[in-house]
Amino acid sequence: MFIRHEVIEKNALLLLVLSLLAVSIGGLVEIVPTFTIETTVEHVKGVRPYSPLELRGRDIYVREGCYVCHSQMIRALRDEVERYGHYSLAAESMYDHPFQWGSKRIGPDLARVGGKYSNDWHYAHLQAPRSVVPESLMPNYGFLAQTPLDYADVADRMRTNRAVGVPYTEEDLANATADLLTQANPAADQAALVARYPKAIAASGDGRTPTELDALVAYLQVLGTMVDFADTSEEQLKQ
Amino acid sequence: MRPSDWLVGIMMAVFGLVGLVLVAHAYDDEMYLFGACLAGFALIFDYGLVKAHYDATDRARARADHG
Amino acid sequence: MVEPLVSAGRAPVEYNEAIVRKFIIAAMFWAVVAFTVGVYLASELSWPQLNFGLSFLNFGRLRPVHTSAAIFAFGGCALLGTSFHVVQRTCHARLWGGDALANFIFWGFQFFIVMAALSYVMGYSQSREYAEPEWHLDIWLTIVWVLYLLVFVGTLMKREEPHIYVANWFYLSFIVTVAMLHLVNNAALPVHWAGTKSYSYFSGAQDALVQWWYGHNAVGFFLTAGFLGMMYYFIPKAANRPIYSYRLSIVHFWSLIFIYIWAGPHHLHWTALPDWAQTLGMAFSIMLWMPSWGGMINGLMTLSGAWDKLRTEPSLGFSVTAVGFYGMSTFEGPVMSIRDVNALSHYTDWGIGHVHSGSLGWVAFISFGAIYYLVPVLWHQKALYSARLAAWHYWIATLGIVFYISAMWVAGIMEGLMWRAYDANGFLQYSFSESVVAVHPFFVIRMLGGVLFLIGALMMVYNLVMTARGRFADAAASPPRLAGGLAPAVGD
Repeated sequence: MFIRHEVIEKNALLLLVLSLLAVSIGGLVEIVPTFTIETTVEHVKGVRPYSPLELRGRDIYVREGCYVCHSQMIRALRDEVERYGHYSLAAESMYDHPFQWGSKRIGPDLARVGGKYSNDWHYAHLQAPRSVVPESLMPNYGFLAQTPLDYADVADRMRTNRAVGVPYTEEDLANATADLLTQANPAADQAALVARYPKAIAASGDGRTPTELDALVAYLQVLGTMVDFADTSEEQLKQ
Repeated sequence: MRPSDWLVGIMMAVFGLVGLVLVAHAYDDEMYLFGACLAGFALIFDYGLVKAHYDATDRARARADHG
Repeated sequence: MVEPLVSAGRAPVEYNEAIVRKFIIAAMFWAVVAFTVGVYLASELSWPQLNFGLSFLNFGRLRPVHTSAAIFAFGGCALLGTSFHVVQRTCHARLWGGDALANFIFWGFQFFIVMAALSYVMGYSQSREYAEPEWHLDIWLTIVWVLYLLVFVGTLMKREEPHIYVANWFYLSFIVTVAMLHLVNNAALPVHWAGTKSYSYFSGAQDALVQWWYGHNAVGFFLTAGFLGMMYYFIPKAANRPIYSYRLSIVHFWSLIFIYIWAGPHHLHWTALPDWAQTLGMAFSIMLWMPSWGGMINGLMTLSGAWDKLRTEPSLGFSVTAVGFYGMSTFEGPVMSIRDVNALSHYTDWGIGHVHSGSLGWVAFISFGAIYYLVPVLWHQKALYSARLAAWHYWIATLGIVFYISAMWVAGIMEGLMWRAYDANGFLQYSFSESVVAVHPFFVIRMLGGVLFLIGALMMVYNLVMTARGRFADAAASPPRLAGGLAPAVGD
């Protein structure tokens, strides 16, 4: 066996090709089936694409690197379920490009933070975390409240998401800017927005200029709320 | 100058042009900065190549004079 | 196989040493940057006021600067530099492709590092761990990396030695695998062709699997295979002995690269990733223990009969301790990949401690060893400026690592236990913020460990600068290379 290894040792291209072969197998065997096995993503009702304002809020979550301290993945362990809520489903992040499951909890998990606190709490907490949680290590995100949200290209962003597999409709795209402004303004009529994006929560904006903070709060408030677990059977959760 | 130096020089010139195009069409601050820095990087790198070439010829000439 | 450590009786080759010198200087520069940012981040976690509410100083934007500076800038420059040194010496050939190309790889890589760091603090990130740069920088890195592969393979092809030395197998597999991982994991669609923002091609569970297939093999191939190449050249060289077992290196190489690539899913235990994938990841992670320790044995046993060299060769202390830390981390890793251990350790600071015992103990120490060996060689000096200063660096840095990892073990296990603790009535005993308060002292100790490690690196920079200038602190007291070693002797 070791005599034949000489052949590889004397041929750089052979060594290159065989190395590449050796490192390809594991990845192929693990990754490809997750696309072909149909139950990788559970068949549950309720998961929808993010509303325009939520999507922009998610962009800000991604931009600020929130994932380095907050996970969005409640593991199927008793204490996690009691602390954070029902364990996370693959379906709940199926429209997340990229996924934000995280790997470290310097702060608590956020997979089901939606609806857990009021809008007012989030606005106060994001701008000065220690004003509401004295022990917190979180940086102050006051600058988000001072930065007007750039929403000129929100339809383009939704179109890009559609190109990678998020099922936005033509109607969603046509109403993108209007929906965004509606959700940022608590005084506006939310009916059309909620019809397109069920369970969308209006942010507490000033009704004139949406800020980045408004978008982030709208995103946080929808996290983990889309699936109605009272209406979901064990069978549907099987992977 | 050897052909490989030419190839790298031309490649850098192309990258410099790509940088300028990115600056011209930049959609956000980051792409503007990236394009500008890429163009500047390409320019300095190609100047460096030219300088290295003439330094080498100077050294060769000096060696020939003293040899 | 004949050890190609000494090439006798052939025309001398003029190696491209300038490019190796550049990479070594860059590696030390980025080491200091990475450690400084690390200390600052550790301070932010101890005293959050240090974020100052400024977007570009916030932990979320600064952490990728630290990780990228440590892994890709410091580690990357050390790998590229030593690989160019090793491939030329063991092939008895000058670098293929000409000096301009080599210079492009150097400056192109530095350009990538600077632009990536700027983009993070400006708020452009894919938020994919260890793959934060956006698509335009990914394309730039791909160009640099493919040219690096070309130069490396080109040099292998024009070698004058019949065999390709084992260190080069590891370097080659590192280069080609990193290219594969980088291309697949960064598949993304930009919103605008001249805009930075993009959305990843994959989503949710599949995206998580792809990312951790990438993320774990950034460890496996960038931080392991590449640095094993370093081990296979610099330990035999500094000890002046051949590698312990040629057969073991063959088994080590093929089993390591084949098995490592499967281990990614152990980052996703108990999550929404299907169970079969988690189980595969766990099984292969445990199997990985064997090739890892095979490599450790091969490195350590190379010194059998030459352990006295530790007293006289300052670089060897770092290299050998690095292999020891490698053995420890590659034992800890498989343990943490067991699902029931992972239930406790995941999401806690145990993971941070594990990463740093690998990155400080293995990656940084094996690089320090190689650089201490290389600087006198590359700057044509007969020895280091001060072997005694190197010994002080060794002990201060080792103490820093011990501070760091033991603080993180305590903090991590404490977090894991507090999060799952129940009181007598069957309720969760602690709120999340109680665990945050409890780990504060250990976060401060971790920061102090980082300070020690940084001080050591600054001493090293001073030592290397003086060496390059041709100064010798030890010369008056005793002949170079005979004093110092591991003992910071006082007043001899």
